[in-house]
Amino acid sequence: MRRSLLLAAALLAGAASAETVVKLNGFAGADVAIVNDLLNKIVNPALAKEGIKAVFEPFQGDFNAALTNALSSGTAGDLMYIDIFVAPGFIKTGKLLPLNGKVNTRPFLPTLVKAFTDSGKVYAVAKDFNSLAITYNKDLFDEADVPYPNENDTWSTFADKLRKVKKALGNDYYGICLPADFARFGAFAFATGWKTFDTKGNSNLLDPRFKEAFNFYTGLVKDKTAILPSDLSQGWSGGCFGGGKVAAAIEGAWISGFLRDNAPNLKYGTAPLPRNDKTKKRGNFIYTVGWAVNKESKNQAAALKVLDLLTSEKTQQFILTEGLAIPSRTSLQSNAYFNKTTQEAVNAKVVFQGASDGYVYGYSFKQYGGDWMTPVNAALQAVMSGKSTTDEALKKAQADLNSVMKR
Amino acid sequence: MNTTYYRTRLVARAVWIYTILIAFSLVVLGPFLMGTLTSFKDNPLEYPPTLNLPKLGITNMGAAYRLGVAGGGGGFFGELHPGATVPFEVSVFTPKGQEVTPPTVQVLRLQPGAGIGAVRDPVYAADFSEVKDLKAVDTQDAQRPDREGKLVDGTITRYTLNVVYPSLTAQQGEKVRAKTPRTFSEDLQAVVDGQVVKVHLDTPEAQQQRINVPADTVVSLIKKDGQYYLDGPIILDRTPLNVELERGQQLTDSTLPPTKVERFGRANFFNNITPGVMGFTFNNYLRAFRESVDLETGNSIFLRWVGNSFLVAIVKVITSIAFASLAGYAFARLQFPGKNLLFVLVLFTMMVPMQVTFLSNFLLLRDGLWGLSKLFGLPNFFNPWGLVVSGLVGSAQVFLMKQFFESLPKELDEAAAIDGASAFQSFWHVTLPQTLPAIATLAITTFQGSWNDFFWPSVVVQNPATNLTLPVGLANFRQAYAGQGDYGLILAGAVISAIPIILLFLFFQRYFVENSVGSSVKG
Repeated sequence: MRRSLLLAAALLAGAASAETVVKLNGFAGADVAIVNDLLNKIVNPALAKEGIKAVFEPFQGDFNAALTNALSSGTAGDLMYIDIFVAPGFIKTGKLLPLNGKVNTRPFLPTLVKAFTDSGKVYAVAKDFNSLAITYNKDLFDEADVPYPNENDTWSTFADKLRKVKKALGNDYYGICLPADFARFGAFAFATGWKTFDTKGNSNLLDPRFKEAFNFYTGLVKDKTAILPSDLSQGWSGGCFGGGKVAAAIEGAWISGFLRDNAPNLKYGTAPLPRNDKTKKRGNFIYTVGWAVNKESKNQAAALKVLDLLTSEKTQQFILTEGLAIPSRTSLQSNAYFNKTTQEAVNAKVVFQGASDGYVYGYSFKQYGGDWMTPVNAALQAVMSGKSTTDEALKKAQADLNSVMKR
Repeated sequence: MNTTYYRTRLVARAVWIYTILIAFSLVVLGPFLMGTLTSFKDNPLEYPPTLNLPKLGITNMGAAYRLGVAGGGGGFFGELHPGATVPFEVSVFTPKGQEVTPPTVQVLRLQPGAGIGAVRDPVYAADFSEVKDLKAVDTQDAQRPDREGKLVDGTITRYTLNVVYPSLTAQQGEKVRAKTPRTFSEDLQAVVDGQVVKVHLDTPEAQQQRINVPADTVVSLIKKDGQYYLDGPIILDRTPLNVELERGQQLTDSTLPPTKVERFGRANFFNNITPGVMGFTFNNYLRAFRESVDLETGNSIFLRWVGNSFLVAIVKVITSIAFASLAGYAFARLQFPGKNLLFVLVLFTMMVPMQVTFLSNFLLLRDGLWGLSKLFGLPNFFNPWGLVVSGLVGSAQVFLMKQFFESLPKELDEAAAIDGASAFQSFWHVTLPQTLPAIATLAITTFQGSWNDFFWPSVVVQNPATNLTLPVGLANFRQAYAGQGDYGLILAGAVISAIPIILLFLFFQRYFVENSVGSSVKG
C-alpha cells in the first residue's frame, strides 16, 4: 500500500511546468549547430513572451529509420525534418498534419510546395533547397587553354571541352568526376524529355531518350574523359574535384562549404548543366528538406508558431548569407547576396536559377523511395566499369525495376 | 617411422600453424593498424594511398614543438598569443631563365566547411597577425624534375619570414588568461577568477579589433595597477599560412611539410604553423575533443561520452557478476520446485533475437519502467541509466556461471555442509573463491559487449548529446564529417574507443586460460 502511494506521489511530482516545450527532430552533424543557432538567435527570443521554448533533438545515425521508430512509438518531436526523398512514404503513414489553412505557402517556390503536396494537401514547408550545377576548376582549364564551360554549352560542346582538357593535361588528370548514381545522371535523362514515371505510372528505361542520356553519361567514362569517384578513393564527386586532378564536377551548393575547408586555394567557377543537343533544354533535380508538424503533437499551435519563424524571411536570410543553403522563399531571389562576385555566391546563384530552368523534377520516387534507384545505379555501375553492354544492363535493370514496382 | 621424417612433419606443422595465426592476426588487426596510421594523416583519402607519414617524423615534431613555443602556447598545445613572433622558412626552386621572384605569403582567413566550426565563427589568426620580414637568405644551383618528369636546371632560394601578432595594448605588466562572458556586451568584459571585470582598450588598434572579439572567447589581458587592458584574443584554433609561387616554381623545403599543395604546386597551404606536437601529430585527436561540444555549455563532451560508456560498462559488470553467480549457483547446486522450468525460461530469453524484443523494451524505458524513473527525478529512461537497468544481467551470463559451477567438484560443497555451513555460506566461502577465472571471463566479455554495443544505445539514448555513449557519439561524428571526406577525425575517435578493450585483453588474458581448481580433489 505504502509503496503504491509513493509511486503515485512520484508520478504527480512530474507535473507540467508553465513553459511549453516544442521539440524539433532533425539531422545530427552540422545541422545541430545551425538549428541551435537559429533557435537561440531568432526563434526563442521571439517566442519567449508567449512561454514557448523550442528545443532541437537530432537523431543520430540513419535519420529516416530513427524517425519511423519515433513516430510509431509516439516519441517523435512536435516538428520534424522530412526529406523530399522519403516524403511520399511518411505522408502515407498519416502521422503528419496537413498544413492547408494553417501555413501560407504562397511565398515559397511553387516547385518546392508541390514536392510536399499529396492529393491537394501540403504536409511540409521546405526550409531550403538545392539543385545541380557544373563546378569547374579554372586552373585546369587555363593550363589546358580550353574555354570554361558556360550557359550556352550543349552536351556535345561540353564533352568536347572536357576531352580537350584531358588531352592537354595527360594521364593524371580527368575531365569530370561522374558517380554511378541516378542522383546525378537523372538530370541528363530529364534533359531529353524523359520522365521517371509516364502517365500510367510506369518507368521505361528502354525509351530511346533514356538510352541516349545513358550512352552519353557512360560514354564519358568509357573514353577515359570521366572517372568514377571511387577510382580516386573518394566517396563523392566533390571530394574528387577537391583533389585538384579533375576539371569539373556535378554537385549542388553544398560543394562550396566543402571546398572552402578542403581546397582553400582551388579557384572554381560554376556553370549551369549543359543543354541536350536535340531538345535544347536542361534537366535538373530538386533536393529539399521540409519542416513537418506531428499530427499527434500536444502543442500544435506552438509548433506552428515555431514553424513560421523557422521558415521566415529573417531566418532564410541568415541561412543564405552564412552560405549554408539556398532559401525556399521567392522574395529572396533578389537578395543582394546573389549579386556578389565571390565564387561561393556565384555558385549559389547558378544553383538557385537551376531550379526553374528546363525539365526539373523533385528527387523522389513515389512510394518506392531508394529502391527505385537500385537497379538503375547497378546498370550505371556495370556499364561504367565495363562489365556489361548498355543493352544488356538496361534490359536487366528494366526487369529488376518491374519487380520492385510490382511489390 | 624414422626420426627425420617425424621432425620434418613437426616443423611443417609448426610452419602451418604459425602462418595461419599470422594471417589471422593480419586480417583482424590489419584494418585497425591502417586506421591508426591513417588517423595521423591530413588527407586520409589520399590517392594513391601511401605509408609516408610526415606527422610521425622526429624532425617535423621538433619543428612543431619549436613553433608552438614561438607562438606562445607552449610546445605541446601550440596557440598564437599576442606579442608572439613565429619564424618560418620556405625554399623555392626557380627554373633557369625565369626571374627569381619571392613567394606571396599570407595568413589565411579560413572558415571550416564542416562540423561545428561551419556555423560558429572562431577567432581568426588572419585578423590579428601578419607576415613580416620576408627575405631571401641564400641561393644554390639545383636540378628538379618538372611536371613531365624531365630534369630542369635552376636555383633554390631559401626565404625566412616572421608571422607577427602585435600586442593590442601599450601597457606592460602581468599577463592574465581570461574568458569573455557568454553574452555579448558593448563594453568589453572578461571573467577573471570568477569575477566579471571591465577591460580597457587603450590603443586605437584595440578599439578597431573590438568587433573581432566575440563572446565566450579566451583572451589575454595585461594587469596593471588593478586595471585590465586587452592584450588580444588567444588563437586556439590554428594559424593557417598560404605560400603562393609563380607558375613554374616549386616549393622544395619548409619548416613544416605543407598540408595541401594545389594549383600545380603553385599554392602551398599550411593548416597550422603554431601547432605544437599535439596540434601537429595528434591534430585529429585534438579535434575529436575540441569539435564535440555541448551546444548549451560549449564544453567538450567527448570525455563525457567516454565516461558514460565506462559507467554503463562497469555497473553492468558488477551487477552481472552478482546476479549471474547467485543465479548460476542456484541452478547448479540447489533443489527447488520449478527449477527446470525456470532454467528453460532463462534459456528461452537467449533464443529470442534482440530485434524482436527491442521495441517492447524501448516502450518500457519510455514510460520509465512504469514510472519508477520518476523516483530518481528522471521523466523516462532514455539516458545511460536506462542502458544500465535494461542490462543488469543476461541469460547467457547465468548459463556460463551455471556450467562453471557444475564443473566444480560437489565434494567441496558437501564438506562445507557437513561442517554446518548454510547454502549461502557454502557459496560465499567455498565455491565462489574457486570461480575467479569464470568471473574474470564474465567481467571481460560483459565489459567488452557493453563498451562496443551500438544498436541498443543508439535506439535508447539520443538526446541531449551529453547522454550518448562513445559508439553512438562516434556515429554522430561520421554524420558530421564523413560527407566531407574528413575521416581522420572519425578514425581518431575510433582508435581512442579501441584502447580500453586492447588494454583489458593485455592485462586479463591469462584469466581466460587459468584454472586452479584441478588440484582440489585427489582421485
